[in-house]
Amino acid sequence: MKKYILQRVVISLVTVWLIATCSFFLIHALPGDPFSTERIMSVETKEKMLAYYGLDRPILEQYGTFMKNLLHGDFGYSLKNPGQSVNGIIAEKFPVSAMLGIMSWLVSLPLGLLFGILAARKHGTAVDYGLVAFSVLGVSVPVFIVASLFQYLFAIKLGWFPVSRWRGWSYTVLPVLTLSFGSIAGRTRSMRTLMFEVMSEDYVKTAKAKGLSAREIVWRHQIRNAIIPMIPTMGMEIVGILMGSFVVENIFSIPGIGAYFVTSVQSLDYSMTLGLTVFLGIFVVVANFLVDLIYGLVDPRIRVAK
Amino acid sequence: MMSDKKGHLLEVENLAVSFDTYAGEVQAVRGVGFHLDEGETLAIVGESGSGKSVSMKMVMQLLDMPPARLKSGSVRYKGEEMTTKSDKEMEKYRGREFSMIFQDSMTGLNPTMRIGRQLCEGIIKHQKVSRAQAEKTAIEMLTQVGLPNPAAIYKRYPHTLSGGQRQRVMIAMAISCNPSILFADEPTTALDVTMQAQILKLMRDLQKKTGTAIILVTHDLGVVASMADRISVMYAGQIIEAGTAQQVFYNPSHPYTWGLLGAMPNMIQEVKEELYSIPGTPPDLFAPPRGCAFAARCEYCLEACLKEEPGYYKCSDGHVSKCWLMDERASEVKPPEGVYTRPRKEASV
Amino acid sequence: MKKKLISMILAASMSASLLAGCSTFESDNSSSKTKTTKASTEAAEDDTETSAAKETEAADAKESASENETADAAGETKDTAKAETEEAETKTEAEGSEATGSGSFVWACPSLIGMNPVKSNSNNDYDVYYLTQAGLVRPTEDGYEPDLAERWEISKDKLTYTFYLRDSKWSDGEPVKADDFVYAFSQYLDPELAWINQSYLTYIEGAQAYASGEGKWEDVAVKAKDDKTLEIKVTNPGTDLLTVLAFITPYPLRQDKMEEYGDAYGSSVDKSLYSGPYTCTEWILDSKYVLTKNDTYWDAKDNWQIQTIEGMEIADDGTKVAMFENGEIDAIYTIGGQYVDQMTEDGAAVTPFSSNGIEAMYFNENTKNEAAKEVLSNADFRKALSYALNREGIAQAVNPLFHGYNRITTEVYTDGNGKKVTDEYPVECAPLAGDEEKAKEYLDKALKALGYADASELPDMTLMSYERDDHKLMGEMMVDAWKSILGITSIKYEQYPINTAIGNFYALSFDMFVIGTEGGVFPYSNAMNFKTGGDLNPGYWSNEKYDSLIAKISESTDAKEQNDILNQAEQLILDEGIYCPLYMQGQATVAQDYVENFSVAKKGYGYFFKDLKVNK
Repeated sequence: MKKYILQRVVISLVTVWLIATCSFFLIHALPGDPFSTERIMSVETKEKMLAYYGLDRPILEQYGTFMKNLLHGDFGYSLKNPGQSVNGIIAEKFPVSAMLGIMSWLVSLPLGLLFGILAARKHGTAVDYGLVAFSVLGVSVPVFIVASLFQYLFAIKLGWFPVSRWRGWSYTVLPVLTLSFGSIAGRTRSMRTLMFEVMSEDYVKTAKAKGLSAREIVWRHQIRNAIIPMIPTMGMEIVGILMGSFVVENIFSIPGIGAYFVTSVQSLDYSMTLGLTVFLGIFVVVANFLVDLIYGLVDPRIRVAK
Repeated sequence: MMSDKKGHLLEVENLAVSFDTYAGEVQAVRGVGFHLDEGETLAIVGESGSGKSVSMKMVMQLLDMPPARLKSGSVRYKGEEMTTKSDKEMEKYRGREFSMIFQDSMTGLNPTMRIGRQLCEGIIKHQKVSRAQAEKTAIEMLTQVGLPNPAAIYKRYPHTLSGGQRQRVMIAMAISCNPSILFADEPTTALDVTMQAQILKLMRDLQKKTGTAIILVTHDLGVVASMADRISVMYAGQIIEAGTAQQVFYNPSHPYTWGLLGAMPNMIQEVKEELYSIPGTPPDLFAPPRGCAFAARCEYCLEACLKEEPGYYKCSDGHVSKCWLMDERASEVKPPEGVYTRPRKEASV
Repeated sequence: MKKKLISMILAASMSASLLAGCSTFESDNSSSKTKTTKASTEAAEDDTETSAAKETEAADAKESASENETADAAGETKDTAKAETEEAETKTEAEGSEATGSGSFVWACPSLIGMNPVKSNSNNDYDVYYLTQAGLVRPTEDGYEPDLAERWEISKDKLTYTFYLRDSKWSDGEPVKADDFVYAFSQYLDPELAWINQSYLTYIEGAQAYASGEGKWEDVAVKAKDDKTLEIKVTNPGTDLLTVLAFITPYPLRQDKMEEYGDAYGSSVDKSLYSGPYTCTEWILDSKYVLTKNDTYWDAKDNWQIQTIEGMEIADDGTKVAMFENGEIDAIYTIGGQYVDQMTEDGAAVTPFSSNGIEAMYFNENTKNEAAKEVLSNADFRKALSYALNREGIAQAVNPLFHGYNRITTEVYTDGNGKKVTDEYPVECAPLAGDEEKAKEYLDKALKALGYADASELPDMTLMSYERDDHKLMGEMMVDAWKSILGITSIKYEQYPINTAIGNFYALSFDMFVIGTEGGVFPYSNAMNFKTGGDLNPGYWSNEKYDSLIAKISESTDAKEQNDILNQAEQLILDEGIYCPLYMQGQATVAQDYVENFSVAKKGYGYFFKDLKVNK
């Protein structure tokens, strides 16, 4: 087991290094520079700014500096917001997105599973068709429509919840609902399908032959086996969720990190982009590792070590 | 049909089950009847698609009823009508009065649950005992089915056992609540010959000890020979011959049975000789033929066979055959040579 | 057993992280909160904070529209009443009555990027500095007024300006000294540091040399005569230094603090110093900032009545409108054109205004597209394209707040007699609705001169611009106009992310480029950009006559003369057609009906809140 963990750690480090390197060269390959903005300045001024940030040095030298700082965990300062350290921005904004994400996950996971089980149990009835329709709708409707709709309906028209910002628990309701809407729908669909697959397995027949009731069969035998295939996907799901939904944060004015993923690339804020990418990369790597471990724990047929 | 004055343990009469599919109705079972008494073993023999599994599962109501449909017939257990019972009511019988072992033990056991837990489930549900008590019973069951080190097996997962061990576990699960009837659906088909013999011996020993009646569904005549007291041969959803093992083996009275017996490989036969097989294929169950279902493949087919279904003709006491050849008006027909010269397996191994 | 343990651990960590997550809520999350010494400001803040906190605690799902409603809820009356009385007491102590008006103003505004005036690249930041900083003079709607400079003297030869500073303090209690201005100018002119308005300071003697790296700081004529006296010399007696200072607002800077914090100066509330009517007491990056009144500011007693200004950075226009209609915010700094009608109908005070910037198309005579070089260098071809456009139509289609525009000088400039420069000095240019006939005439001339029989033979050319809401439609409409009116099918529109596009502009990798530029300090500021080597001219055009005209303006000392020459220069450009103005962007501010005197700068920078009142 120890050997396995060691292997994984080494592979993870190499992966993160690869991510950092590829991102570095990719973003520097984009034409333009961080200071070519709508605010026109003279060419000399622009060149002065580039020199100030060391962006006029040869690319390999910049890469060396980047790698050296990376080893210290220092992502430098944002080019767009002078004086703000990338680490500082991430440390301030990420917890907000994480919280939004975790809450959505906590809502969507059980609900999605439950709906999927319900749909499978009540196969062929109105309940099943209704849930299937809901899941198709939920997966197809874009997030910004759901967000605007919820905001308009529950905050503006009915006034039950605040319109935007992130100032307390009541502010979390609409954004969480919006984010989980799509997840619930998708998960309902997968769980339903998995339950069907499991339903036709022989051990379900055995269980029935033993005289177990339908409910006992579902809860003790089916769910456990249906959930297992979902675990690997949960790893990437968590990453997506924790990184914040740009759209939801945008519409509800939530001070999370989602926006920065988009704006940092658009404005060619090299340090911010690279900081975010490496941060995200580390997350993905760690999440996948944990998921693999959990998968091995849950499914006795798969043992990670040996 | 077969009926005695004295009530049988299990009586199935005129059972007809169809499946409603998108392509139409599949008449899987078309008027099947058999009975079972305490302590005896009935073998239902037939090729794939003959309807033997469906008949057996219908007794326990293990079929998914939306596609499957009971068209007619009755199933009486200890005198009580079973077909009218709801799913909930059947739960009391399943695992307690009836139990079933399946062909594929790998998929028949839940791969993510420990053996012990799967065993205890049924015990706890039906006997309403504590976990600890159930564990004791379970381990005892494992010993009874001949598994070495049962306490260790109790903690293991199915995929860590061999095929034979798993089948023993299935048997242990089946007998844990001391059922009256054990339904065995091709229990040895997935095993090699040595394992097969052991499992069959185990089943016989258990039967001797507990007096459980067994219904054994199989296509392997060798298995039948070593286990069965009585045999019912099924073809295309119907029973075409039924009798004691002696009667059916030594005095087969239906061309299909002749074909089955003739198709058994012969240890003595010359290597160069081709294996005999019945020509043709079973009929389409969407539209079963008007006359005898076997007529199209039968060497001895008469005009009447194509026009009308034969009834059950008595060959001797307790031995019937559904064939026009048994009618006194038909000319005497001798079964082909090989049928009688097959070496007979001993009744016990 | 193991599984139970694992699920328990998972559940525990989930709940723990959620509880920890509470701390991400805005009212508590303020890494940059500083304690202010003023009791009144604290009380005012407590008022807002307590209400918000009580709201969260009570888990009240209903968002109350104003603080008053919260105060009415049982159990809170006591606390807020206490805070209110505290506030009232200190208020009556400090100044006269403030019977009308609430102490706070909450509005939706652009993001604050940084609070370092030297490093900041954003006009929006400078709008905020207008409130938190104070310079020599303070811009107003019509001109300027004295700020930290109580009075000034201009020498007879108009070359020396002497400013006499009044007594004033920085937010940390230190007095503002003339040295602070000198230090500031050294930073603004620093050749390494590229301050955004550096080019305007070159009117100062020695500044040009120093900023280009050739001169010495000692030779720059910005000197502190004593702690309260600042002397600046200019090179040209025709320069109106005060107007320049009012436009570019070079705020004073504290050397000790800037050196102490280095790059981090201005990155958070406590790493900045303030000299103006407000101090920044809270700032959550890209989320919101809170300005609190600085009662030691010299003008604090009679003006700047609002106690707390909270600027909320709301990304989505729809959300802004929703919050406004909900009564959660008092004003909005610019909403999109699509909301103007809706909000006007709802009764909000919508004030459209044109920014001082012109969106225009530039032709590149030195394009890398060899086949098109000759065509693009033909003035008649360029004018054909210009006259074919219905500017007003395109502008309105793209955004109802935009208006077509067809010249270089904008309408905010007045000459010495208060008359609009544009009125006094007309030019001949394409009419706003376009002129199809003239356009076709120009095209025929061009085709003949270039040797093409027909417009369809023209080489492929690209109209380029950067990603922005209005550009896609604008580009398509322009290409369409040229196709249908002139029969030119070989032009297509391409759009790139802004940094890429602008990079192409500087690299001269374009045939035609649309970009917006803001108006400068003087009417002729824009015109300066087109000279060879000018800020806006990376090399797409060069014209000796034009350069000589521009040189004459710089040397001139008379406003009338300057405007005359400007008129010639403007006409030259329009005749050459190298620069084709399209439209002026418009925006609209919105304010609730209980808000009085809400005004923002139309040119230059600033939120003019000196007389702002909120009557709730």
